Amino acid sequence: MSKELLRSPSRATAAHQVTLVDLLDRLLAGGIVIQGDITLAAADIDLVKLDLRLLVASIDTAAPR
Amino acid sequence: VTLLLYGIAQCDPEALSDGVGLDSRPLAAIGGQGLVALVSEHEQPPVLSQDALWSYEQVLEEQMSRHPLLPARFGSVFEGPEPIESALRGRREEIEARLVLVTGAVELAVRARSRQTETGQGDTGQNSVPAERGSGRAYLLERVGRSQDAGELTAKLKSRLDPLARASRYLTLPRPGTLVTAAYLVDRDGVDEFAGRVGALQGQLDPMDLTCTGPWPPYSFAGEAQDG
Repeated sequence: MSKELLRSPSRATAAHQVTLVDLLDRLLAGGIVIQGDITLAAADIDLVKLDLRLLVASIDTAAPR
Repeated sequence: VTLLLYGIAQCDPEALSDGVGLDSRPLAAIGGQGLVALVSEHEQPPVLSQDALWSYEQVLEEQMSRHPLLPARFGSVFEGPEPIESALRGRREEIEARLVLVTGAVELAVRARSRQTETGQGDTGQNSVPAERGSGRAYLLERVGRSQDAGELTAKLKSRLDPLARASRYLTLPRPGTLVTAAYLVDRDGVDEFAGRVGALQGQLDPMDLTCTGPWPPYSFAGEAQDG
């Protein structure tokens, strides 16, 4: 493996791209959704720069249905 | 004041008495009868940042270590408790079924990428054809090849990893350079065996780069499936 296998999210370095992308995938596109509001304001420019396509796709998925 | 929802847990409200949420706000419980929503009060909805995401994740990890939990999507905010109370009443059966599924399990993420794509040289799976710049036909051939590669890889992952998981989710070609992303719901005591299986698979899938992260709260198994 060229990447470390099975890092605990709590201990992982937030800057690690793979772990961060996995985090984004889960928190912004997963989880139970209760009919109501998903309200996000993006303030971390590094996060947006890291994977803009993912972020846009995830926010689109997170929009209230 | 807004309520930020973290998830729905199978516990009594008293179990959250010492819980702490984002910005060190105390956790509160909505609901009862063994099914409660975890919330904290805030002046404004959360701002999307790496710190906020990791803090949210840590709140969930802490709570998940104490009781069965369905994590909520980040940014779920409400002006009052009514929508949450209504969901707990109206979706109780569905929520309890999902809690049964995830109790005692964690989520592991697997991502398969092409090393060559990361370095800008295009995919090199068995069926991929490097595209000539400006060639529409080559571009289409490359897309077809990538799709075939992703399908074959998904089949391999399913045959080798699904037997170790309670449930799985797959997304093919979620973004450039990534053939497959997958999520697996694995028994807590089965994590090491799963990691070993992924490691063994890596050697068989060169030049694919398999990464595995976790354990995560069961985000991919808390709501409707989004298989691709």
